[in-house]
Amino acid sequence: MIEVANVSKCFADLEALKEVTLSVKKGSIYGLVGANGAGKTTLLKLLAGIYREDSGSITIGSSPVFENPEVKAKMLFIPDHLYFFTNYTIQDMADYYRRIYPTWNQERFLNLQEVFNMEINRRIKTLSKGMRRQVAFWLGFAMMPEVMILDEPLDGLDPVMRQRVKNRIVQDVAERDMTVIISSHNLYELEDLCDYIGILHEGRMLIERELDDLKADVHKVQVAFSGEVPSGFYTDINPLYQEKRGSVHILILRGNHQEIMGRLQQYGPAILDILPLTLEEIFIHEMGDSGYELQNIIY
Amino acid sequence: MKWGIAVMSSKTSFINTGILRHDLKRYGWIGAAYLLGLLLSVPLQIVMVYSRQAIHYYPYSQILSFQSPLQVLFWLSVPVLTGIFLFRYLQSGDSADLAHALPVRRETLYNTHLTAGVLLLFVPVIITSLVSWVVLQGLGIEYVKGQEVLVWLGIALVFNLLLFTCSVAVGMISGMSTVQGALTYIMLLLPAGLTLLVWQNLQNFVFGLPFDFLSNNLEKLSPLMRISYNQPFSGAEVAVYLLCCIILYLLGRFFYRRRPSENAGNALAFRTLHPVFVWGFTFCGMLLVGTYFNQSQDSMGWTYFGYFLGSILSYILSLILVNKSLDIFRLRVARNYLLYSLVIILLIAGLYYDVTGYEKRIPPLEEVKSVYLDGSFYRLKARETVPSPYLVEADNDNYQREVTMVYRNAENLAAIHELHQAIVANRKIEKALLHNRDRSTRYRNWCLAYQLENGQTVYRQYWVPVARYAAQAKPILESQEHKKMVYDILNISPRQVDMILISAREVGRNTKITDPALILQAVGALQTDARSQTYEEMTSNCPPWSEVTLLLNEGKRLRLSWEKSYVFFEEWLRNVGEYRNARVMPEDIKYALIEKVPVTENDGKVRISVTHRDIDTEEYLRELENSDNCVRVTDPGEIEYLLRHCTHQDTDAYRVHFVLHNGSYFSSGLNESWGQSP
Repeated sequence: MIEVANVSKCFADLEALKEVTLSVKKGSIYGLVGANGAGKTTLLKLLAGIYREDSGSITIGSSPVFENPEVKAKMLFIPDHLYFFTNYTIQDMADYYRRIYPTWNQERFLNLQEVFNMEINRRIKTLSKGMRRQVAFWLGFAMMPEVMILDEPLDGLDPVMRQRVKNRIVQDVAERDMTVIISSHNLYELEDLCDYIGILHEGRMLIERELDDLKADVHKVQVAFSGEVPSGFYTDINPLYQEKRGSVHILILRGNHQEIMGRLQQYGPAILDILPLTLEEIFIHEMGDSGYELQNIIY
Repeated sequence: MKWGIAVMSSKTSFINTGILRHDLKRYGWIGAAYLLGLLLSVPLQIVMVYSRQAIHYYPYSQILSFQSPLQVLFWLSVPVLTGIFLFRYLQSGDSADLAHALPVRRETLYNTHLTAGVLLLFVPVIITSLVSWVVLQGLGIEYVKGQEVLVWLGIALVFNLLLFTCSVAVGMISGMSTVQGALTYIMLLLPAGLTLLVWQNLQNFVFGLPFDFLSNNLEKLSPLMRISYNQPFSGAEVAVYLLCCIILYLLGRFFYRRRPSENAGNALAFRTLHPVFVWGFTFCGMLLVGTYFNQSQDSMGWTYFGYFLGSILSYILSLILVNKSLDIFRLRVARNYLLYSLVIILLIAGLYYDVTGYEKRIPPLEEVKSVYLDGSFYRLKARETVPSPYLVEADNDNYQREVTMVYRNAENLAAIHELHQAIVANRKIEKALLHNRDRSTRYRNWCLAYQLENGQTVYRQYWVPVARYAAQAKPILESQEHKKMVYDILNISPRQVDMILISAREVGRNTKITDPALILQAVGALQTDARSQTYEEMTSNCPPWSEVTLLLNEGKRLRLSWEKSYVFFEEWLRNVGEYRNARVMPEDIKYALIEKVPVTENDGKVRISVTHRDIDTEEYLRELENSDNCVRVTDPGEIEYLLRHCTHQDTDAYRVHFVLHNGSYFSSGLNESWGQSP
C-alpha cells in the first residue's frame, strides 16, 4: 500500500533522511519510532505530499503522492503542530473539509460528536491543546480516509481519550481496511496498536519488524530449579539474555513457544512461567547485534 | 471502497470551488473595506463637489483621474495587501502544511487564490464605477461623460491587477509576508529606479553620456510612478501592463510549483536566489548611497566613499536577511566582498579610461543625415509629449509651433561636427572639471542626436563652458537654418498680423500699431533683425527694451522681445515716432544707483523688482544711497549707457538700481567693464 524506496531529503545543510525504505501493507498499522530529530516528521510530510523527495520514490497504492490529488483525497495527515484557521469553529472547519474531500461523511461527522463530546459551534482557538487534537481526529474520521498519517497524534490526550482514539483507529482498520502510519518517540504508546514497528535513527531506518512475528519469536521465561542448575543448561538453551533473581532465572529466548517450553521441560524445572515481554525489551534484544543501544535511540 | 477502483474523476481543475468559497469567506472583509473606501472616495466626492455647486469640469475630472490622495492610497496598498493576505499561508510552516496536504494541486491552489484576489479587488471597483455613473446621471452632471467613468474603470482594473499579480509573484519567491510587501514595492519601483541610478552614476565616468535623453520618460517603467503622472494612458501602455500581468502570473505559477514548502519563514523561499538577492541588493545600495553623496557633496571623493558605505552596508544587511542571523561574519564573506570590490573597481576604471572608445566615437560626417542640436532633448520629440489637458486650455491662445531642432544643411552639419570634435578633443580637461566647476563661468548643455544614413541614431550630451566653444558655435547659431527654427517671427507672414502691441513694462507704457502698412514694415524690420543677429548678440544677457505681442488673425498671440540688438526695429520706431513710447527712456528715470556687489557669494544682494514695491527695498535703497558703496548717476547720457549695457546676470560685479520718476524701481546686473567706459 505505502511504498517508500530509497528516499532522501535534505534541508539546506541538513540531511534529514538518508535512503529510507519502508513498506506498509494495506489494512495494517505501522508504528514509526525514533528520537526527536530522527526524521519522523520529515518522512511523514513526504508521505503526505507536503515535501518533495530529493531522490527515491514514494507511492501509495502504486501512485506517486506528490502533486497527486487523487491519492491525497483518500489520505488524512494529522501533523504534530495542528493548524486551524483563525476564528473558525469546528463547524467551519468541517464545512471547509467537506467541500474539499470527496469522501467526507457528514453523518459520521455528526455521530462522532457523541464520542468527542464538544460543542460544534465552539471556536477552535478557545479549545485546549488536547481538545484541538480531538477535533483533528474528529474531522479526520469524518473524512473516511483510506490512509491515515499521524505524527505524534496521541500527545496531549488524556488516557481515556487516548484509548478511545486508539479504539476508533483499530475499528476503522478492521471495518474499512484502513492503513495507518503513526509516529511516536515512545514505544509503549504503540505497543497495543501497531502491527509493524520501524525505528528511525538520524535519518536512517534502523530496523523494521512485524510485531506478531517478534512476539511469537521472542519469549521471556522465568525458571527455577529445586537444586543446582543442570549442567549444560545455558549452552543448550542459549538465551539472548539472562538474569538471576535469587533462585529464579529470567531468560529471554528466541524460538517457537511450544518448542521452547518443550526444551525447558526436559530439565525438570520447579517453576516455569512465560512472562509478558514489552516492546522495549524485544527491541533491546533485537538490536543487540546492530551496535546501537536502544536507550540512546528512543529516549 | 477499494483503492484505485472507486475513484473520483481525475479532473485537473483550474480552481477549487471549496477553497475559493473559503477565501471569499475568510477575506471578504478586504473586498468590503475596499468597496467602502472607494465609495467614499469616488461617488461621495462627486456628490460633495456637486453640492458645492461646481460649475465646471475640473473638480469632477480630478475625482476620476487617480489624483485624489485617498484613491492613490487605496490603489497602492489594497492590491498588494490582498496578495499578501491570500498567500499568507505559504509563509508559515503549519498553514502551508495544511494547504499542501489537501488533495489539490499547487497550481490549482495558486489559480484559486488568484481568482479570489481578482474578485475581491474587481467587484468593489466595478460597483464603485456603476454607483458613480448612477450618481452622475441622477444628479444630471453633464461635465463628465459615461466614457470617462469607463476609462477610470479600465485603468483602475489594470492597475489593481498589475499590483496584485506583482505582489503574488513576489510572494512566491519570498518566505515572509513582510519581505513580500517590501520586495513588491521595490520591484514596482526597480525598473525605473535602477535605470535612473545606473545612468546617474555612469554620468560621473562617461563623458558625453546623454543623461537627459536616457532619463526621460523613466516613469513609464514604474507603474507606481506612472500613476502619479497626470497623463492619459495610451492603448499601447495598457497593453504592455496587461502583458506584464500575464508574465507575472506565469512567473508566480512557475515559482509556486517549484517552491519547497519547508522554506516557509525564510526571507527567500529559494536558496538559488540568495546570491541574486545579495549581490543585487549590494549593487543597488552602492549606487543609491553613492548617488546621495554625489548629489549632496558634488565630489568624486565623497561618491567613492558612498559606494563603499552603500555596498558594505547593503551586503551585510542582505546577508543577515537571507541567513536570518546576525552571525554572518566569515572569512568567505570578506573574501567575496573583496572580489566584488575588485570587479567594481575594474568596471569604474574601464569606464573612466573609456575602454570601449565611447567618448571618442563621433559618427563620420559623410554618414550623417541630420543632427539634432539644442540645449536639451526636449525638442527632440516635441510631437510625442502630450501636454496636460489643463495646460492646453490655459495656453491655447498663444501661437504654438512644433519645433524639432534638426539641422540638415550641409554647412551646419559640418559645423556641428566640428563643435563635437572640439569638445571631444578637450574631454580630458572637461572630465577633470566635471566635479570642479568654476561658479563664475557660464556653462551650457549641448545635446546632440545624429541621424545616420544607416538608420541609427547616436546621442550625446555635454555640459561645457560657453566661452570655450564660442568659435565653433558661432557659425551654427548665426546660420539661417538655426534662426528659422528659433525665431517665430521668421515663420509668419505680415499678412497674418492684425495688430502689434509694444509694452515697456518698467514704465507701463503701451504702443498699439494697427495700420496694415505699418504692420508690414514692423514685421519686416523684426525679421531683418532676427536674420542679422550675431552670435554675441544672441548669447548676450541684456534684458530687452520691451515686450512685443503680435495679434494674429487666427486669434493667437505671438510674443517676442524687442532686444537691444534689434537695430532695424529701433530705427523703424524712430521713423514712425513711436520710439519714446516703446521703451523706458532716460527721462523716465530720476536717478540710478550703482552698487558694488561684495565678492562673497550672495551676501548683501537684494533682488528688486518693479512689481514688488515693498518697504524693505525702499529702505535698502535709502541706506545704500547714504553709504560709500554706491555711485549716484543722474546724467541722461550716462543713464542711457547703463540702460543699454545692464544685464540679467546675478553674478555680475555691480548692480544698478533705477529709480523712476513715478516712484517705482527696477534693477539689473552690470559687468565690470562699465567703469572703463564713459
